Amino acid sequence: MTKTEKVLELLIVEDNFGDYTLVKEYLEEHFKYMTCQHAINYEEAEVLLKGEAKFDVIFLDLSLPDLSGKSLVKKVLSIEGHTPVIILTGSLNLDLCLESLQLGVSDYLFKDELNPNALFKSINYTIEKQKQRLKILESEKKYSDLFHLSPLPMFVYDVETLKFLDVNSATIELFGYKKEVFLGMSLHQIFFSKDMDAFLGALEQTVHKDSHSFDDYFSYKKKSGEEINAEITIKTIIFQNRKAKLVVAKDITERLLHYKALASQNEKLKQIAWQQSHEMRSPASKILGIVELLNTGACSKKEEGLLIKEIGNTVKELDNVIRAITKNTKQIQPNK
Amino acid sequence: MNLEVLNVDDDKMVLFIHEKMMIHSEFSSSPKSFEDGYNTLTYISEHKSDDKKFVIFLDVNMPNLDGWDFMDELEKRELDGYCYIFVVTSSIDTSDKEKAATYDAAIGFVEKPLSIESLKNLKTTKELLPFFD
Repeated sequence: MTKTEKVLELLIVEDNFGDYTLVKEYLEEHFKYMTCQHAINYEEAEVLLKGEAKFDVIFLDLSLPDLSGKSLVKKVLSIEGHTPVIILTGSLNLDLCLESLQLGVSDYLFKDELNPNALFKSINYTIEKQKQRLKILESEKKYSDLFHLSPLPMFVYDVETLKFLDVNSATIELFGYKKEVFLGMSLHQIFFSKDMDAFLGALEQTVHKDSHSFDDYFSYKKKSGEEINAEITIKTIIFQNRKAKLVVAKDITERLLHYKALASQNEKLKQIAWQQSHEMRSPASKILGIVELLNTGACSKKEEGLLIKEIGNTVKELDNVIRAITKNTKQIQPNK
Repeated sequence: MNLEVLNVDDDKMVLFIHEKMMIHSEFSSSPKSFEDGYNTLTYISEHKSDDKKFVIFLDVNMPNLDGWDFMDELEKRELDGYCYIFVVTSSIDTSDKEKAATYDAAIGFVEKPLSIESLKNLKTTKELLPFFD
């Protein structure tokens, strides 16, 4: 019989020594390099599973002296999520076998029907299947991380019930509700009632689209009652078999405050430009006129004296306007 | 046909400067000064004559009746036909200039200060040219 070069590290949890030996010998017919650890009850198995050793496959007898059946399966799976478990059972309890599969067990084998080829096939099939499963888990995690770790607030809601199906941490931080609370809430609760109709109306636009972003922003209500403004993009997704919308909300509250500050600053600048062209220009033109007149030599000594005195008065007037303008240029800070 | 020059400005010093300049540049030998638009209107209606044109140097920014109101009033009283108006302002804002162009009686726009040079140029204004030849 040919043997595979593949290395196999195994844990067999089996209280019956005969059964253990049988499984081990059958496997040795196909695996050249095999290490096999043996636990005779759940307690021993637990120690090994929590230890340093990593196993490719775990064989688990469904009835151990200290634990058996579904509770045994659950406990083993809860310790070692990533190592595939194949259950061994003496009884033809198909219901229990099927339930175990649902719990996450990879395969089941009846002790009476064991043979080297069936074992070999089950092990290889299980290991390969586990690799695929891990890949899927990893990719799911990647996508889940994209959602949960995104610095942009995102949430998913059910299209029909408007209930929240998932929220990421940025959303939790932005709105101030705990995740459990959020998942019991519906969309209405993050709006001021006056804005809800506008938002639902806007959502109508997105019903038949896969993706939509709005030109305008919406106002939302935080847990604290505080108002925030956010731009949103909506995507249609299937979430837990429900038709749902993924909403990416970009908080622009700060930005709007800055815009407002800029707008009032601009208004002030316009005022200043007006002051420059009217109030400041008036005394300046008067001084220019007086100087022009003095240069003509058309005035008497007495008149010249009056004109010079007037220059003094007008410069004072000019000075006042300059001060008023400087006061007006004071920087405007965004309102918090 | 005669010309009578009227300066209208709420600032006495400006009126004094303008009078002096006009005499010195021989734009007018006896310009009259008014500190208030209503007095000016009264004067015009009392002294109007078919062989005389009033050349009015009108300040835009005045309390009570500003330059624009003055011109509206002039039209309402049908006195605008007796007048050539130069709109005078210290502002360098172009919107005043555009607004001045919408009044028939306004034949020019003058930025303060009025100078010997600018008065000389005004003599060549199309409407005034016949009087200074």
